[in-house]
Formats: sequence, structure tokens, C-alpha cells
Amino acid sequence: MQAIILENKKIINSYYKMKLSCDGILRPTAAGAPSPGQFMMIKVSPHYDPFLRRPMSFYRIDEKEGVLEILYQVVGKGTEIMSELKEGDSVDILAPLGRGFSIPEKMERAILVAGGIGVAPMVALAEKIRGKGQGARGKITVFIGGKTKNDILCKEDFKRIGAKVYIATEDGLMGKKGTCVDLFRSSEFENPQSAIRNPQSVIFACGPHGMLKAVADIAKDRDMPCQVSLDKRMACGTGACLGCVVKTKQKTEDRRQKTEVYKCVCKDGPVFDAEEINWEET
Amino acid sequence: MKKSGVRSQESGVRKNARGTDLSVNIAGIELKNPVMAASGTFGYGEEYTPYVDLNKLGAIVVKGLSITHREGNPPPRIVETTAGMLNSIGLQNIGIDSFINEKLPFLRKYDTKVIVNFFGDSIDEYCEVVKRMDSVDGIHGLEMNISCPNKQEGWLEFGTNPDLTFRVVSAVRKNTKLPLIVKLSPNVTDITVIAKAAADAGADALSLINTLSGMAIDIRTRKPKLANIIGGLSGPAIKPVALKMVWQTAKAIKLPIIGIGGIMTYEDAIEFMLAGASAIQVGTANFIDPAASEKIVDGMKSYCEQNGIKDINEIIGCIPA
Repeated sequence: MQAIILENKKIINSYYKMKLSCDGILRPTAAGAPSPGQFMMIKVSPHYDPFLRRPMSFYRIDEKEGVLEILYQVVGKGTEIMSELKEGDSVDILAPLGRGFSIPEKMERAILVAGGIGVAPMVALAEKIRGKGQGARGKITVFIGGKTKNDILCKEDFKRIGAKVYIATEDGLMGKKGTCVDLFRSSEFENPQSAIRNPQSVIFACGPHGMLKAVADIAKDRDMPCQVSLDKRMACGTGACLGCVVKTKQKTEDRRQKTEVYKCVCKDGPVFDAEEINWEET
Repeated sequence: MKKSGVRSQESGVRKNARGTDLSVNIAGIELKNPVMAASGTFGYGEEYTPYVDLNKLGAIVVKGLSITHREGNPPPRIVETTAGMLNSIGLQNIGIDSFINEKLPFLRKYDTKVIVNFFGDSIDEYCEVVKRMDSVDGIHGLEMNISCPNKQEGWLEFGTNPDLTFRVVSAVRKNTKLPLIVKLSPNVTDITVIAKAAADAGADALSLINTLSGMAIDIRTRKPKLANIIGGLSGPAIKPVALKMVWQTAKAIKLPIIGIGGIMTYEDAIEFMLAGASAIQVGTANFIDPAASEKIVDGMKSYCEQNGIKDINEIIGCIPA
């Protein structure tokens, strides 16, 4: 389905933002409108090289206007071609795909942990949470990490949404020195009285695999619910090719023991409960 | 979903308004058109209903099934290559019984032929799987994947050795009355030798080609890009190889041939038919465009109309030896 590019611009260095008019071309799903954590498969060129579509999560969702925005980093041939597309060009997309974040009714605080470009779906998520009136002003806490200050994206978005933002850079030139995981783990939040440890708080994380594993460990230690958005190479995006699998732990029918099964990141995810993932094997 | 779930009223009507007949007969299976969805690229059909009217396809070849479910290979399982991709899924599947109980009832609702792709680790396993499908309603044919290692005898792939091919196909033949299509591996010196072995053993039709063996390396990490190191290459990159093998086999063997390998468009499909294929399968293209198979049916129809072809069978094997 052809989406029209409304805007495609560089944010900084290799990071870009693309706004797509998708009015009338989104596939009907049981879930209805596109939701945060879901993604699109985008064919960046009509030719055979690059061959496969590229999965891109939604950075912002404007349901009324049928506009989807994505945030991407140029890392190879596909994203390079994307970065050269112009306003008015059309691109072939499949959307929405996959299972997004689920926002529990009783959630009092959302804790968003994002590493690098993993921040993209977090903006859509924060907007949705705010829109639902859940988590009163200030009750969305965001931890963003990146290599340098130029890898810290969307700071302004979160401020606009009214979230509390903490930043860490590996070179220490912006915010605290370290990673978003260090930040999240840091002493300020170790206080048992801190709202951050409130059982009604939910962690949502997106970023590199190692980061997600570390966040999942912290969540487990603190006995907090945690949802992670995974990123894997995909071919189809619809659950047919079985290329993007991740090892998960599933309860058997009698619920007495767990078995390990491969699940598709594209169809069963990309968002999973952190405790469902076998972090050792994936 | 458009008409999905409802048997098309036009079921049985094979001619469109302008009179082009796209129907073909493969091994006794009447297909309303020569376009099939290839095994492993179309799930069990259900995955594609948001994009394709399954009633419009000649047949669906379901993801390869074994006697019990298979977990498949560890990831990474796929990697993009120039004009194609490598995969090493490792034959992950739900097992034949789960397919019959959980997936087949859905497919029965459609007016399309269901062909079950299957495999085994040994001759006995191949036979066990086909026995389970005996007199199961809604299975119209079998496609036998012989690109599997023979666990019992030195791990040699059945499909790379004419003797092993003959033995495994003969054994399966004795255990089923369903139309039997044997899917050939291109990773051999002379595909017509294997094709002949399958034909002599009682195959009703041949499908070719399966993926070409290949690999890709990440020069930054100096590691293979697939966890399994090697995988199967598919996509438009392999089309010329596939086309040549179809042409060669069609000349050598008197069995209907189903052409597979990098078919992305109706033009590609027509090429295969000219080379000698009686039907074709759309595989990797489904990943790029989930509606590819349906578009290819429409494109073939227009091609025939524009070129005054009344019956698609007229063009099969036009290219001389």
C-alpha cells in the first residue's frame, strides 16, 4: 500500500524523522487503530536491492489524520535510501503489524527506559498514556541513554508530554555518565519508598539486546512488571517466514512446568513481557 | 477479508469473461490457475488472509510438516543478500497432527487446492507422515521435500543422491494414493538424474527448485551472518538458475513440472511456463508483497488476453531443446 511522504528530515547526524500519510491504507486489525509498540514494514525501493522491507516502529501516531511518523537511524543501504526520499514521494508500507505495548488499567506510573534509537516507540507510548489520562502529570518517568549527546533523541517530546526525563551518555557530556540502565539502577531510585518501586509502576523498555536484558534483570529483582520491545531481522513481518524468532518460556497446559518455544518477534511481539523471554538464549 | 470463508460461487467455472482458460492439471490435481503459494513462505494460509483472497490461488502449499513438531534452528535465521535472502529456519513446524486438527479446518473453507509439503529424517519417518494424511478430507496433494539429511544413513541428503531419492520416493509411493509431487534440490551436479530417479520411483510431478545452498559473512565481526552458518538462497537472484533447471528437466522427464525460484512478477511466471513448467510457485515474493501471488494470477490472465492465448497450456514448454 502506498503511503505519501509528508516530511523526511534529518534530526542530527545519522538520525532522521519521516512523516507518512497513511489515510485509508492501514490494514484492518482486531486491535483497530495502530498502537504504540506496533510497527510497519517499509519497502524503501521498488527494486530488488535492497530486497527486503525494513521494520520501523511508530514514533508518533495521529489516528484522526491517518498520519504515522517514524524515527530512524541510517545504518545501511536500506536506511540510506530512505534518508534520500523526498516530500511527496510514495513508499510501500504494510501497517500496523505486531503486538504493541499494553497499558494496564491500574498503572500509576510508567517508567520508560530507552537506549539510542529505541526511544522511537517510547514517544508514541508516552502520548498514549497521557491521552488516556493515566499516570497524572509527572508520573511518566523516562530514562534515555546514548553514546554521546547527539544520540539523545526526543528529549523535547517527553518534556512536551510532561514526563520526567533523566539522561545518561556514555561520554558523560550530557546528563549522567553511563548508560540508561546505570541511570535506572542508580541510587536515587534504590530508595524503597521511592515511587519508582511502587508495585503499580510498569517498566517499558526498548533498545539494544544487552540493555533490555539488564532492564529485565532489574525488573525481576524489584518484582516489577516489565514490557520489552525487541528488534530482530525480519523478512515478512507477518509471521510466515519464521525468520525473526526469539526463545520464550511458556507454561505447559497443566501449568506445572515451562517449555521453551520460539516465537515470532513480528507477530507474537515485538513487545513481550520481559519474563517471557529466555535472555540467555537470544 | 473479502469473500474469505465462503466458497466462491464461481467454483468450477474456469474461464473468465474473455475466454482465457488458466486452468492446469498437475498430477491429477485440477488447478483453477497455475499459481501456487510455495511452502515455507505462506505459513498455513491463515497468515495471508488480510492480503490475499485465497480463493483466487490455484493452490497453497503449506509449511513443511514432519511427524512431530520441530523447534527449528537458533537465530539469526535469515539474512538479506543481493536481490535475495538466505534462510536457515531449520524446518520449524507444528507437526502433522496439529496441522490436521488446528489448521486444515480453516483451509477447507476455501476454494483452493491444499498441498501438504512434508519431510522426514529417515525413510520410515517420511512414510509415517504420509500415512497420517490418508483419507483426510481437504488434502489434495503431497509435496515431498527431499532436501533433508538421512539421519539413519550418514546424514547424506536424500535429494542429492539418485539411489536415496529412488528409495525414499518408492517407499512413500507405497504408502499413499494422493498425488505425489517431489520437490528437487538444485544443489546437485545434474538435476535430471535425480528427477529421473524420482520419476522411476513413482512421483506424479516434480517441483523445482528448492533453495540454493549459500552463506554470508559479517566482515566486521568476522562471523557468519546465520547461526547455522549456511542457509538456502532464494529470491530473484536464483531465477536464471531455476529457469534453466526447469527447462532441462522438462526436456528430460515426462512428468508435469512446477517451476519455483525467484518468481516476483507475472512475467517471471510466464518465463517458467515457456521453459516447460505446467504450474509455478510464488515463494519469497510473498515476503516482499503479501499480495504477490494474487497479482501474478491477474497478470497472467492479462498477458494471455493481450496475446490471444485461449488456453494457458498452449505456452507450456515452447522453448525447444
